[in-house]
Amino acid sequence: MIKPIILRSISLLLVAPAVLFLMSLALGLTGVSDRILTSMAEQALQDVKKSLAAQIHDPSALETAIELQKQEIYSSYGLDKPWFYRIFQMIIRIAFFDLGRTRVIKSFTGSQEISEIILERIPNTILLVTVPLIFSAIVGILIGVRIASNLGTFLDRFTTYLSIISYTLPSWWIGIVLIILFGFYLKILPVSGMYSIPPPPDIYSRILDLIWHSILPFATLVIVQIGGWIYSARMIVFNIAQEDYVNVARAKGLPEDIIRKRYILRIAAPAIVTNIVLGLAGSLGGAIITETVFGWYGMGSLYYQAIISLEEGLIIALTYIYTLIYIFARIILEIIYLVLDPRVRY
Amino acid sequence: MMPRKEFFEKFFASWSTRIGTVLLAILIILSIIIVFAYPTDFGTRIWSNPSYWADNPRLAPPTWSSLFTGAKIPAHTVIKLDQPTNVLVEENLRTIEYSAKIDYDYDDYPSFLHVLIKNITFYSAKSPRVEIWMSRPDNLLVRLTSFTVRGSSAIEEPPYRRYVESPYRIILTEDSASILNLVYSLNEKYYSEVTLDEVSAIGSEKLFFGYPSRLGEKRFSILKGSYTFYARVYIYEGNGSVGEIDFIVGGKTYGLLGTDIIGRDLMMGLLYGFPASLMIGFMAASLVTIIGTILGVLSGYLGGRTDIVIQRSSDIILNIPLLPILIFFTFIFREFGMRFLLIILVLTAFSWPGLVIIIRPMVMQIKSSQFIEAAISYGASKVWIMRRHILPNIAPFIIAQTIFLIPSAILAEAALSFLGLGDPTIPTWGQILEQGFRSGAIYLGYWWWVIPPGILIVVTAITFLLIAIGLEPLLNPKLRTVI
Repeated sequence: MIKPIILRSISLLLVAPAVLFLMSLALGLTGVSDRILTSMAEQALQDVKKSLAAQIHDPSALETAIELQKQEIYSSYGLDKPWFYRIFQMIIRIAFFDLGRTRVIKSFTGSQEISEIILERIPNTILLVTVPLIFSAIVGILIGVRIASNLGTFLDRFTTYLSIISYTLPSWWIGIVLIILFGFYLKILPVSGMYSIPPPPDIYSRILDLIWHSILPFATLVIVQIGGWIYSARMIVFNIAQEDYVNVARAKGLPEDIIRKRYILRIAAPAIVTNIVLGLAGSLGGAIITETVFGWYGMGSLYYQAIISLEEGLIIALTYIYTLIYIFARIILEIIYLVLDPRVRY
Repeated sequence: MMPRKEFFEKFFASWSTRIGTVLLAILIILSIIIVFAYPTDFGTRIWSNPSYWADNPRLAPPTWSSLFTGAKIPAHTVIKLDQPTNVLVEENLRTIEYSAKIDYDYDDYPSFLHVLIKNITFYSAKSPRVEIWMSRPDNLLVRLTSFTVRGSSAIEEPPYRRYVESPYRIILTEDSASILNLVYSLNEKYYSEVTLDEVSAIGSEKLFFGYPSRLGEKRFSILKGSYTFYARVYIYEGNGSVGEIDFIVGGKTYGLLGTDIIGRDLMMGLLYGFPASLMIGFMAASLVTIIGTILGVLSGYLGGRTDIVIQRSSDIILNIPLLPILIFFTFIFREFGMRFLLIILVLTAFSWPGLVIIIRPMVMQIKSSQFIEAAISYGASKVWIMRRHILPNIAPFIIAQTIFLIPSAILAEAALSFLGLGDPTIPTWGQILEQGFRSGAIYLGYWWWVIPPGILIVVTAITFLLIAIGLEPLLNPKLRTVI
């Protein structure tokens, strides 16, 4: 049991260096890595200049000293060699978010360190991704399983078409529609942000405030995700319900409830978990834009800000951290999958 | 495989494919019409060019939206006059007069008043002069403003042509001479005491289409009735002509789908989105299909090292979350131009493994069947077998997968555009949405700017999904009894 999990985890973890390599290659080819390192070197040089100016008072001696320091700093960043000599160094830098400082964007505490800016936003994003995902998975599967035993009825068709529409609805557009409806016209829900301004003082009313602000973004994500759940659960359950052994069970006169629970759902569970895995990537992506639309202080809205203010380092770091979160979630799901399906051995 | 006739009969038996096919036909026909009707440089020369839209009202909702409010909201009115109403030839002076009659019975003031003068030709050393007049239902005749056409320079030879490339535009509602003259005339007629400093607070358009409510007051009411605007062009010493004079009464509503913050007709941009998104969808889906099929067949049929390499690389790519990596690559390569193509390529580069994992087991299953063994026994080459025996057998599944890929490519492009990474030379629905969002349309209630593009994205994506879902039971025998 442990061995396949470890093997699978290792193969998933290999994705991270592969992505790092791809990113470094792209950064090197486009000259972006040069730009990032040069600005870091220049920053280091500024500090050195100040301390040198305090020590050396002769202008020409200062000039040569600075020039010497400049060469040293530039070569310490590898800027004296072409980019492909530095690709390994770049991989390490991205892995540890050592990408210099942001130009404009600051963390909530005012820091311009990329890792600090991202770290404080991770919990917000995870909250926004997981709660609607779990909710729509549970409700969607329940509905999908129900209608799978009544295929072809009006209710089945109606739900199927609704779920197709739900599947194609872009989350950002649904968000916009909900904001215009409930925020602008009805004025009953907040249009943006996670807390009121100013935020309420004590912790309980803060939590209530957060829930109040999260109704619309959560609703948005549930609306766009639930359709896929209903449809896929319906298809999986339907496929299994047509197997011969299910017919045999029916012929034996077993109650429908037992057939559904022990003969269908137990078999369908691994396939449904696979769907959660596939759905996760979609919901991560959906959350990026939903955050942007609702001004949710997560990594997705940070992406949008970074694109608009051309913060290269931040975009690189965000892409990497999204990959990491995804891999981590995949590993957890693989473990659940292995527990559910004893036949699976890699 | 079922016969073609039976296939189509079953295909069209379900409502989802019928609706899907009709919608697809509409999408394709519209796109073809638009490709031919629009100039090739629509994005750069027209859509992203603010001066092209200078005579449109900004942030005007669609005309039909006034049906809900009950009040008569002024529609956008453009009066183009290419023939003068009156030409008076005197000695040394030719007076060309254009007049436009407007029956104004709306419940609101217009958003602006523009006059455009196009293509003046003259021969004299003395420059022509243009005067703008208006007569109002309350019998006021006001000489609003006048200007002198730029004269001839030393190096120029007659005929002198002016305002050929771009028209001369007078924004009457911002023109200080017009405002001064109107304030003077109104004060005289209505005994009011409006001063020039108060005009910006009152709103200059009220001077043109309103009157002080009660004698001596400064509150304005709309003056309904028949207005006439005159443009008189005085051309000295003989011949000369005027190309066209336009009077534009800026509406508070515009067209079928309204305008955005720089006055762009949103319908034009949204129509252009049809061919743009179909192109994204078809190009990305076909590229993914080609690459995915080739690699899937190779991986499944050849096995061995080829299989391992393809399997490992698709395993890695499948485990990269798509949108973040799309954002990264589009952002990093954005300076190289042709972002439209870049989005398609990146989308392809990270989507093909999805197809490989579907095709590979199918190929492996076919590979073990007897007709392949027979083919090998009579000496068929590997390429021959893959092309003539395996591909035809998996082709229907591949087509269904391609149709599934089209909406996801369209949605991915829309998502990238919404994050501000779209191709600025090719306007798409996602970009229109993004501009609306960035301009705060959702907090200010400019629904006509953000709702229609979303509906179009959804309808286009649903079209392909309906067809793909309709195909599924045909390709998967188990499902044939349902749907």
